[in-house]
Amino acid sequence: MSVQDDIRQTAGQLLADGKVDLVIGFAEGTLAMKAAPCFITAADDVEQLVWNSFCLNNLAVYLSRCFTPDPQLREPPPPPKVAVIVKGCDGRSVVGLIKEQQAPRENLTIIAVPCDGMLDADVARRVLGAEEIVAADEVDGAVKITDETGKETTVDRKELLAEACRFCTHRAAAVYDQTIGELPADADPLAPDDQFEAYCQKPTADKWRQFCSEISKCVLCKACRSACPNCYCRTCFADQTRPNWMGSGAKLGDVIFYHLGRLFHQAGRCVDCGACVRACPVGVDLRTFTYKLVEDAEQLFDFTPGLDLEQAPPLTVFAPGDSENFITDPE
Amino acid sequence: MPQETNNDWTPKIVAFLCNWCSYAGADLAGVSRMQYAPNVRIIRVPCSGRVSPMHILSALHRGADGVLVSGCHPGDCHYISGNLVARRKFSMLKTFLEHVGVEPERVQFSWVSASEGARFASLMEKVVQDIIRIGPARMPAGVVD
Repeated sequence: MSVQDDIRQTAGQLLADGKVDLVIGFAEGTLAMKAAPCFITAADDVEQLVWNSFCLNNLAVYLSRCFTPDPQLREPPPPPKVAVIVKGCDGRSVVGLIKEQQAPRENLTIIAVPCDGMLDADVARRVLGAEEIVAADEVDGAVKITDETGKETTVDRKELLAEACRFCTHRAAAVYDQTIGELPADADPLAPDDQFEAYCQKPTADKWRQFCSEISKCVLCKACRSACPNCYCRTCFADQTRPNWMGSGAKLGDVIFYHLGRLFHQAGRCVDCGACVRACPVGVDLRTFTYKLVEDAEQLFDFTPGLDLEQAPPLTVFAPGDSENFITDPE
Repeated sequence: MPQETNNDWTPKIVAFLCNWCSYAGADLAGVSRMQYAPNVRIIRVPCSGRVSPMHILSALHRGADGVLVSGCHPGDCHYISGNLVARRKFSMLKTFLEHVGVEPERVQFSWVSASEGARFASLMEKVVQDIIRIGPARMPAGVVD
């Protein structure tokens, strides 16, 4: 049985048995190379669910919203029982949300599915130099892509992998209730992250220049915030008026402040799923900056988010022997 | 990076000092009539653990040339472990700010106890000298209300 059929059957069974009220998965999208997140509440609708190489979104982003009661209601209904279909990155985000009490573990059914890395339409456009991808069809690791002129090109799937997938090491969820197919083992990244390494070697002034030139592309649409499972605050600091952290964004300083604030809120929490980067309509390279936080959490506190429900988030605890080398000593 | 500085520029430094140690240390430096650079604006906070990274970023955003956060020495926190949790936060913030290109001298962290008036004065001298050396903040100022 294919993974897709298995997903449909499992989802149908869970809904029919009343074990869950909602299944979050992927349906066929309206654009080529993009599957759309979908929400299935009836066993009859499971045929909508698909599983292919275009299921890029991080589905964990919808979970905290499922468990946020409407403040207008005098008596909020009991929290729903939700099944979510997770790749490695989604699964790690779900663990983070459980630990941050955004989703009760007992109401979740985590269905782990195997992921070989997802394919990104923006990467395909870049690789082919095409304006638009009209159709894409994957057979045995080769993807036949039709562009807007009707030209067909066959490309190896490795060339079309989303940026985050190229550097992914945890391909399967670590915490789950059910599995579908055979979960892949942790793997080394496909390629070393040369771009990030090159950035790290730059002098501080050059880093600031590159950071500012990236951030100056930003139009403050805040799609990065909407796509990120970790950005679940009811009121984001960027929208607060008391205190008024930042202005409307007319000044570059405000945009820089928004990004520094949002990025640092990911410290020790970011699972490097790349949702923010893919959501960005103007192509701000956020990963160069978020990945530093992932790397630091690992180097400073030996912490990788989303692998263990018991391990406390690194910035909520301390150890007597934590690094002190950044402390200024006047003597 | 040394920048063109006009002669009128003097650094504006925001210092977040914890109520129980560093603020008392600053007070001791004052009542002991110790000389130190006058560029610092002190904000008293209950504990260095109260200082959110957002406060530090906001200070830079609103035109500070430098930020200093100082609390009790590890083990001496009035709230037992506030400064130890702060230490983790700040170590990540410091490396992150360096990563985006903010000079490491721009944001500094230190421990000053209530009896260390002299240490506070020399810390302020050091921070001010550091900031004068690297010049005015590169971060463009944003909203000021």
